Amino acid sequence: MALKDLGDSIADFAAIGLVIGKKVHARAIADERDLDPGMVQRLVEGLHPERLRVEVAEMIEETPSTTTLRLVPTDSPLFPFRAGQFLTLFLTVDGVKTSRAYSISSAPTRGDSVDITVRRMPEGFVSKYLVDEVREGDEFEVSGPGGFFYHEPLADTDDLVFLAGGSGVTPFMSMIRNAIELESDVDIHLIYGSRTPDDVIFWDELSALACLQNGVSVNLVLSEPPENYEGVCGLLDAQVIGELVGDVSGKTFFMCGPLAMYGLCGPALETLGVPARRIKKEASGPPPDISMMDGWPREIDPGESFTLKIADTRRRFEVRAGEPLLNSLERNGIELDNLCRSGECGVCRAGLVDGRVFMPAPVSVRKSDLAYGYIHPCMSYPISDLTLRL
Amino acid sequence: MKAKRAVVVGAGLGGLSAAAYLSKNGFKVDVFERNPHPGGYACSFVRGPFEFEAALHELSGIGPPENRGGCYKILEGCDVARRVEFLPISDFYTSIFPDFTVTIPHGWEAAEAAYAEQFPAERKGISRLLDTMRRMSEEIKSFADAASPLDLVAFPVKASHVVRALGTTTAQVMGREISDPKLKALFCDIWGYYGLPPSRLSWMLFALANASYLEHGPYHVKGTSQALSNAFVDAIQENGGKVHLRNGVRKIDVRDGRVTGVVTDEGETVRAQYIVSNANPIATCYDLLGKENVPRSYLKALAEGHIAVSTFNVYMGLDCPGEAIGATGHEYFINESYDQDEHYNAMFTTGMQKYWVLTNYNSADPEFSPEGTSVMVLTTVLDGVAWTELEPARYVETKERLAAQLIAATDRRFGGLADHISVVEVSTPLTNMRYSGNPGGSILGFDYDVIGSPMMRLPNRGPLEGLYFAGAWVRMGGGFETCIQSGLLAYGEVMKDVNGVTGLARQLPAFG
Repeated sequence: MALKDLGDSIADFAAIGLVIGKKVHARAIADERDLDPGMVQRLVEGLHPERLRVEVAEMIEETPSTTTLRLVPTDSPLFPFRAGQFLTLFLTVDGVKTSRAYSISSAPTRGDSVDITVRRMPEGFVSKYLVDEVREGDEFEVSGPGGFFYHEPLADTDDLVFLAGGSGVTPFMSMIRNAIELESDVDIHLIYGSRTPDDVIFWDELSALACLQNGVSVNLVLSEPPENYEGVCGLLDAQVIGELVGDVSGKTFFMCGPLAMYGLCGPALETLGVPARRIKKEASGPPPDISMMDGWPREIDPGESFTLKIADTRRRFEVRAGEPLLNSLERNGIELDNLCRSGECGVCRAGLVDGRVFMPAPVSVRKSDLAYGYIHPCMSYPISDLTLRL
Repeated sequence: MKAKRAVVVGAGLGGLSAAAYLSKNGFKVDVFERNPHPGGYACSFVRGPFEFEAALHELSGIGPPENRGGCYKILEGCDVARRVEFLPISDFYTSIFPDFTVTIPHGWEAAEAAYAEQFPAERKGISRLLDTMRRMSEEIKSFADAASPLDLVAFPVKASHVVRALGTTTAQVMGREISDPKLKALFCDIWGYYGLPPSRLSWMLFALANASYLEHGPYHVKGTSQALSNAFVDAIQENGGKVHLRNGVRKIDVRDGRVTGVVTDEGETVRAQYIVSNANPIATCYDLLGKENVPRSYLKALAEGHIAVSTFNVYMGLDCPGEAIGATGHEYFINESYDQDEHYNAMFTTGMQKYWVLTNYNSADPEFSPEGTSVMVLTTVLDGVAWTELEPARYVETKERLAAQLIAATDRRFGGLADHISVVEVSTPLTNMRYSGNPGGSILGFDYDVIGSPMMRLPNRGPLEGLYFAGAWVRMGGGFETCIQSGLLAYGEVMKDVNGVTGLARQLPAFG
């Protein structure tokens, strides 16, 4: 057989086994020790459950448009997580099975429940449902914790500046609450950008914390301040950040907010001379208008439709250029495992058999995946007819 | 003719290799894998601007075009080699001990000279030791080329070095030729790859594996080992096979003592005459088959095997090139002392370790990370049990503490390392368990002790008709090259059954 040539270092070992294999085999058959079936699974599920059933124990109105959902696991203990991480909520809205990732706003120290804080967005398919339709006692499935947006003492300094925009304050709430609970040594300076005072979430708690002299300070920056407002006004640009922070050396900056804010804060930090490794940015989901992103092919209108074929099946349907493929798949009743919906985790990885997609930076696709045509459909936008292998 | 159907459970290297051979040879193959990406440990992950190699340190058995090794030929035989770019690694390894640092090149003469330069008084012993290893490797190769059963009979005579190696530990054989404890520590400094210190490690395994590195040189894969795994998938698909990701197998159906098909995580039943399990045999028997379907003798054999070490990794993206912290080579073994048993004993705790390796990936591939940056990984092998006994709430602080200690201790040898870390990720035995499903997060399956050396491992033929194994837990054992070999061996066992081989020949290992 031709394969024989391949055996170089194979036959060898195998055949030597013949010489004394019998003896060893006899030794191997000792008493059957108790092997614990499912042990690996149980350990892993405790730390990183794939799905966990939770009940909405409480709905807390934070502002007229923002609600905190307190989630309590119904039949297993809560997973450990790091302050700043997100969970993914799986739900059915208008008959569409979908999911969304939300930063956890409570501290890990609470142990038995987690909070997510959701702002109703005007066009929000899911956020509207969560804020307006969900009631105490409703049940959902959530994922285990995900994401890398947390204070990492192995690389980060202990002098932290948090730049929050709008509901982007939620992971910072978890980190601030955690730091205070643990009486940790980190210094935290939260700079919280918001449009109007009505939009500000957690303000009472934040101002109270800032008065305690415990290493936490907060600044509110309003872009549309009311008349006679005496606080800081404007946007989170180099001037505002520079004035509030002062010397940037030795500080680690965290950013979480809408894309527009990143467009402003990123260059601002560069201007202020903050090195790239001292800047951490939370992944953001699909932008409101993908055609505004760098690299979008101008000849394509986001409203344009293309035909998506699913390889090895007869399924084919129309998809919109301006909508991520994952959302289009869900609208057509096709479930695809996913977690971050930001292009980062790779759980929805799928093969692009033919056709083209646009993936905005910085979608984290492995180099060899790109070479073989794998994409992350949660942040891939169709720009031609295409075939996907799921 | 109707295609023969095969199902492969798990897309680790063993499963992929089996599937590649099956699909190339006319089988209709379905591979089912729980994870969203193929490769098992042979994969990569992305954090910010960095892509990290998850597991591969040095790939053996590749070799340059004029001197290809066994692993390359196996990859060539299933159409995978041509899809992959292999990058040579300049040296075998660098050892850092409390009072000396030595770089060992590959190539028999060069390595011998490097050992002898550091320990000139033991030149002769070093030479004899390397000569024995080289002869063992040659004997094995000539045996692989054996043409007739007569060669088999002549084996004990012709392969005298191999036969003498049976049942011996690395320390025993080494002790006959060299005496300085520091030289012994240097000579065996790569033992972490094999999971046991010289006092317990199979000499057969140590000698043959090191011989492969010395003869063919170590290699890396352009684009990380994920590129190798992706190449396997590409080859399998080209041959009409299917690799189903995010869809594992939750049950293997059994009827009248033979396997008949699988039930997938999505609930579909897939019938197949031949099933190759790349899941570990413990999970395969207990979780997929149900122990009532497995012969007691096989369960006993499983229980008897000792589960090998796992790993703890600190993956770091640096904002400087390796040169800036004095790292120009690829693989640096760092030792706090010369007592490798002491190093091994520390591995049964979650505390600070005494032996670990710094791998500098940009050394073999300057394009490994963005310009001006580098990727470094600290790896220590350790036992998984202490980690499985941790309270979940103490998990993060425990891993952060060990990572911080390893970084600080490495920083003492590579000044500036700690100050240049821009991205860091830590994996533990529990991480390995999560992605591989292996008990204890083992990276090698069962231990490579004298009874667990490659040929003593469980065979690729499973305990039920139609069931075969590929992967670290069975022949040839844990490691990249060995897992790739195991897939070919499993395919060989399938072919015996397809061809109706019966009697003693069926019991002999494939390709013998």
